[in-house]
Amino acid sequence: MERCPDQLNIQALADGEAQDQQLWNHVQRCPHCSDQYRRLSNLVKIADGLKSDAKLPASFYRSLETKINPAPFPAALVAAVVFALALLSLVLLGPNYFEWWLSVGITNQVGLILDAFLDLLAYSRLVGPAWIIMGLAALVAMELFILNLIRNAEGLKNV
Amino acid sequence: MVETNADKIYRLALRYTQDKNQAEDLTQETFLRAYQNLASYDRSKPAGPWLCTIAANLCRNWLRDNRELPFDFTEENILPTNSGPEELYLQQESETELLQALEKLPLIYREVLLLRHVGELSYDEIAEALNLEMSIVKNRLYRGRLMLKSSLIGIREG
Ligand SMILES: [Zn+2]
Repeated sequence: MERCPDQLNIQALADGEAQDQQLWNHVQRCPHCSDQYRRLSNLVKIADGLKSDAKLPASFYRSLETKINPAPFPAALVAAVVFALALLSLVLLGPNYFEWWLSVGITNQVGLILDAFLDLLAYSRLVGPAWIIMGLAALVAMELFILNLIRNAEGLKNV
Repeated sequence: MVETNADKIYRLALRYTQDKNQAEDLTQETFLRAYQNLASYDRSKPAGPWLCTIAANLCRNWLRDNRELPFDFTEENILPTNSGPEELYLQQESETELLQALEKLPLIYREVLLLRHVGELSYDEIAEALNLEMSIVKNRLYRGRLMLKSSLIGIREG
C-alpha cells in the first residue's frame, strides 16, 4: 500500500508550494490525506485573514523623498568663499598679484581646474560635505600653484 | 521600487506593531536602509522579499524594545487538529479578534505567519529572510497556524 505523505508536504500543497503531481494524486485518492488537505487549507484561510488593505498616506512619499534626497550641500557657496578668501589673502600679501592675474587671463590649465570645480559641484549630492570642502581646497591650492608657475615663468619678480 | 512595495511593507509593519504611526515610521526606515544598502541588493531578484527582510528585522527590534513578550504557547495550548465545522466558523472571525489572537503567539511563529500571509513570501524567501532551514519554516508555519486557531478559539470562548 502507498505510504501517506507527511502533513508538512500536504501543507505545501495547500500553500501552492508543491508541484508534485504524484503527491497531489495521492491526496485526491486517499480519504485520510484529503481530509488533512481540507483541514490544512482551512488553517491557511484563517491565517489569510491577516491580510490587510491598509494604504500609506500620500504624505509618506513626500516625506521619504525629502529624506532620501535632502537639499544639496551648498557646495557652490563654499567654493566661492574658499576661492575669494584665497585670492584676498594673495592680494593682501602681494598687491600687484591681482593686476597680473587679470592681465594673463585664464590659461588652459586654469580652465581644467575650473572644469574640475564644476564636476565636484555636480557630485556634491553623492559625497559628504567634508569631502567636498577638502576637494575644493585642493583645487584652490592647485590653481594658485599653477598661477604662481605662470607668474614665475613670465618673470614677474616684484609681485 | 517604493511605489510597488511601500503599501505591502506598511501592512507588514502594521501587523507587527498594530500601530499606524509606528508602522509608517518603520516603513520609512525600511526604505532608507534599503537606499543605503542598494549595493548589497541582487538586482536579478524581486525587491519585495529583500524589503520584507529589512522590515522584519526592524520590526523585530522595535518589538524587542517596546513590547513585553507575549506568553509562550506550550504543547498543551494547541488544540487537537481534527478537522471540523469550526474552521468554517473561524474563517468569519473579525479582524480585531484575529489580531488579538496573533498577539498571543510567540514571535518566532508570528513572524513566519506575517511574512507568508501579509508579506506574501514563498517558503524559500521566508527561509532566506529569517535565515532558517526550509524544514523549520514549514514547521513553524504549521504550528503557527494551529496556534492562531487555538488562540482564536480561546478568545471566542472568553
Ligand atoms: Zn494518504
